[in-house]
Amino acid sequence: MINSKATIVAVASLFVLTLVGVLAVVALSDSPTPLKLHILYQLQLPLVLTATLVGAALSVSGATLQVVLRNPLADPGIVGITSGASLVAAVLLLITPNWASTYLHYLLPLGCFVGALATTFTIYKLARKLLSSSTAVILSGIAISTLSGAIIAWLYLFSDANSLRNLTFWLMGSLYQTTWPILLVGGPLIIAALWYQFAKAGSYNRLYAGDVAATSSGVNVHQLTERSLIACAIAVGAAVSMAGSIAFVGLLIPHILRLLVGHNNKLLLPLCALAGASLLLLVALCSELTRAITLPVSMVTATLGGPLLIWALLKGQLR
Amino acid sequence: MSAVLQLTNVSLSNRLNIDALHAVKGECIHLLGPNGAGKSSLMAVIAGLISPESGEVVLLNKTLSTWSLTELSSLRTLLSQQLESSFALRVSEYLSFYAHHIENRFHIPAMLEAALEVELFLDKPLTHLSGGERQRVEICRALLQIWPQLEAGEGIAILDEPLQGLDIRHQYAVATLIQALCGKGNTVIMSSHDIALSANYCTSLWLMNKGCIIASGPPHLVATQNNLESVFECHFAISKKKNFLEIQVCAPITLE
Repeated sequence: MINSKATIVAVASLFVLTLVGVLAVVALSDSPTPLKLHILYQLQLPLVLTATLVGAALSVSGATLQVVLRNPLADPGIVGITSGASLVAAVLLLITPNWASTYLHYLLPLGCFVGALATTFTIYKLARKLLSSSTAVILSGIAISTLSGAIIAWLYLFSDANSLRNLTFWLMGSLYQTTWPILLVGGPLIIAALWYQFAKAGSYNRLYAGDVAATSSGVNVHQLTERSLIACAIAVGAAVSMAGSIAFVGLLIPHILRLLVGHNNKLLLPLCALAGASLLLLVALCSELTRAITLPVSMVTATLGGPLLIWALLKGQLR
Repeated sequence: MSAVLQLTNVSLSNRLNIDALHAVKGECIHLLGPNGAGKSSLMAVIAGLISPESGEVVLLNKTLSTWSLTELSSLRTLLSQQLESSFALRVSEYLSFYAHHIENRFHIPAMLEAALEVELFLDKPLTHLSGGERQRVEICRALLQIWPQLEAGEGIAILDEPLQGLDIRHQYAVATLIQALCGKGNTVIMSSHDIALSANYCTSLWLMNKGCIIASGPPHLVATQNNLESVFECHFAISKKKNFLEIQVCAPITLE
């Protein structure tokens, strides 16, 4: 267990370091103080909070989904939770009439949140109608995401260049879209959803032995699955409405951490929160350092994450 | 003699139809029957995982449906045939999730280790085990769940084909372990397909076919030529030696 303690320290210090890093970029700039403060409050702090909350929400929900659906491939994106949010965002960005665009800033997060919850609900109902197994949830998720992907592609055909560019940016994720009002609503939602998942870590551990064994050891598997899916949908829905669709974090972080600290969710879930937050803070730091261009988040996470995940998979297979 | 478990008129659509059945504290019950006889369904009903459509199951003088899942989890354990293997977690980790009550460092009780010999692969990922090794880990997991009760002689273990996949030495080791647990006062109900082994390692045999209990009681009264031949539809030779029941399938089975 020395190994896992070292990892906890490493992940925690990574988190603190990047946090300091992002804030230091402001502190080191040579602008006059009132402006510096304004940047700090209106841009930097929301950026740091968004990165932390979104990173934590996506990676913890990914880890939970993988255990609850008994499938290491599960990820908020693959399971279809984000697809509903993307669909709503696409509809809003591409076909909102001009008069409504002033409210778009608030309409978009709300729409995404509703979209995420609606798809999760649809997927779950569909899965229960088909057969009540965890594979059915994943298959319905893939079906729903394919469908919304298709609708988004159709919408592409009928939209102008400017809205297309907006949508592309949204679909690649961005940490610069939040404002304090959105954070004040989304933050508590994410924290509550993650709290539920942390509290159920012991029950998630029992699920590794299968439904029957978990039930025999006192876990109400049906209820746990249902509530965990809702918690994930709330966390991911809020994350997506803050930062758009961010790929890969939910798959990448849990898999790498499982190799480092093992499968105990009591340890894994909090560490996923820290590591996911650190990863997105690193992305934020990267885009702060290259101020001229805004880096789409998914681009950075996929570039960093792809090779890391391949390494993790190889290491897991060979051991 | 107190009844740990009592079933009256229990039925489950087409799968189970049991008039009356009971288990006494300390009994070592082996459940025999052909494929699809309803053994697993009966065990799931007894464990409280499936509620019967009609009839009553009484566990420790209290109707089963009034026990909460949490209360049940520390009294009885169920080993099912369902195996789950999506994650490559280490055996020690896997077992520790079910041995929550064991303080501080997790270790395997000597009695379990003697029969199951799982310490050899504690550091291996679950997915790298052979079928028989995995089965030993599963038995260990199921028994660890109620280990404090088993040590006190108050536990109830319901094991669905615990011997499946085990090599011959471990089959007898597990059968002996179960006998020893019953000797302490625990009640065990296990299903098996090894009639010869079961008849000599149980205190009571339940013979099932088509959802019904055909016979139950001491092995020499239940494992009779008549009973076995009518249930399993093949010929048996049974001879009673000193303290030992020798059961063999004798007539070859033709495929025409």
